[in-house]
Amino acid sequence: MIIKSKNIALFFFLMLFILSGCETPMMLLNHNPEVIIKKKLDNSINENDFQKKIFVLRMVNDLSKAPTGAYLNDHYFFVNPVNQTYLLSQPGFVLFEKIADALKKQNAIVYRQYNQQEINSDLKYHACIVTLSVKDMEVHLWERKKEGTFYLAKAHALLSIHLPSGEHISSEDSVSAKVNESDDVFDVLANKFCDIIKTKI
Amino acid sequence: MKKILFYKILLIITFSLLFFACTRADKTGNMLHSFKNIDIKKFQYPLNCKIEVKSVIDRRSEFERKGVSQKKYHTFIPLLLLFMWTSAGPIYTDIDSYDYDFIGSLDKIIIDTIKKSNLSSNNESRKYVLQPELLHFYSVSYEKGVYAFGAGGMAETHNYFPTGYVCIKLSLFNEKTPTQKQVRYITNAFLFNPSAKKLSINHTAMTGIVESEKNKVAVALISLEKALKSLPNVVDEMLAEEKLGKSVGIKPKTFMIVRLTKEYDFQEEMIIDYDTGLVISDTIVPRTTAIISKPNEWVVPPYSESGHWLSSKDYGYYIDILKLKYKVKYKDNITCANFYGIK
Repeated sequence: MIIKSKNIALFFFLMLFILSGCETPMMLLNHNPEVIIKKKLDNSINENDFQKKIFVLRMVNDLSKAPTGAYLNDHYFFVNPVNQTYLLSQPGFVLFEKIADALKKQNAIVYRQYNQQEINSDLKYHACIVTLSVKDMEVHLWERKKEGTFYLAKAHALLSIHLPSGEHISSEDSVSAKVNESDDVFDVLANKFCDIIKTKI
Repeated sequence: MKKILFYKILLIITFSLLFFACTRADKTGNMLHSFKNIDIKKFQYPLNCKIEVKSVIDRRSEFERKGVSQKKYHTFIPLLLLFMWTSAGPIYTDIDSYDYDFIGSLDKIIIDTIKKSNLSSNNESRKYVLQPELLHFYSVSYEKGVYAFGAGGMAETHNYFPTGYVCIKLSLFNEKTPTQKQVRYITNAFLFNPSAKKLSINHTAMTGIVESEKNKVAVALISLEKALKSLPNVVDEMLAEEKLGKSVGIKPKTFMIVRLTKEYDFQEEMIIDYDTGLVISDTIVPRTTAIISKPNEWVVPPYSESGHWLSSKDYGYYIDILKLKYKVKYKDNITCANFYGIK
């Protein structure tokens, strides 16, 4: 009898090992909050001074894939995969507006452009033309027992900067942020892009 | 005894056949046939050119084309009852659920959409080629379940609201100068919304495989429908500088101002009588044109009453006419001018 129950227990544990060893589920395609969750909470913003420099901030594409984000919590035995997805229709455009606002706050003169039409020669030869093409974005809301509720976000964008001197710089950059529920995660992302712009001009 | 066994087997076979028929019901039809009836906004007159639409190039990744999904994850815990937790996702909908000849059908739909919109004439002397490339088209969902087995058993499964996404790259070039291409992307993401047409919260609540599958297919199709509605406007904007339409010459009887809503999905359109300044109509409509301003900013859109996108020169002229009577000026948006009311 003892041998039999031992065998049954062994069988169950063997099953447990085999079946729990199956592939771990991805949280979202290209969107794995586990990568960002390791970050520390940080809403600090660098105060750059752009000294009245003129910028034309041009938005080309918002190719952020769906779903934009996930509402997650780990109140239960293990993290729920996606409890409820929530969607921002144009997260890339939200980021674009926030970058324009952040540049203005940092003492820059900013003109926004939403298409690829030629700009007048006055601006063309006196402004830094920053072209933004958002390749992907993710925004998550995560509830944790210990840390409370916070936002996680990541943006991957192609930045192309045309300086008045004629120099052309282009790069692909990724920024991420983890902030409390009360803070605006887009503000933090936008300021990180401002830092990138500052280092390039 | 044999009779009972026979009837049992017969019953199982009947139910299996019924289940198979139900699950295949949506897959055998041409789900894109409903697109023939989509409401496309018409331009008042066609542009003086011909647009030849090339066959769609399929650039979707393999998992989107074949509907490959993440395998299920199981955890067994052998207590008094045998507990099993499962979670799966992202689950991509089987591509056959939409249409067996998806790319072929999409080709026809894009040609139909351009024709219906009255965007172009058949002027062979000015021929443009439109090359669409399908970068993404999918519906994605997630599942979670808890099962307990003992003498009896219980099961609780959740199918989370699916999301649809489509991304089409459009390249437009003049047949005579094929190297000078203009490129635009049209994208649309749609999260399952119980209040939307063709969808029902009951379908998901019932957790029936057929209903759940229907919803998954529907969200992707809604995304595609929304993207296609904006297609003629996007192509029209690409042709704006080619001077194919009528120029703005006389003062307009009416003009339009628009304001984007916070979600970017809708816009408020106000038509104003030029002479009196009276508001003729004020409506909120789904946005089918490109984004031209930030939300809640009243702007004069760069398209005329006919619906065609104006060239930058014509738009400048149009703004000059409006400036005679109204407070219209460029602030920090160089795509279009802001509107501040009567002078």
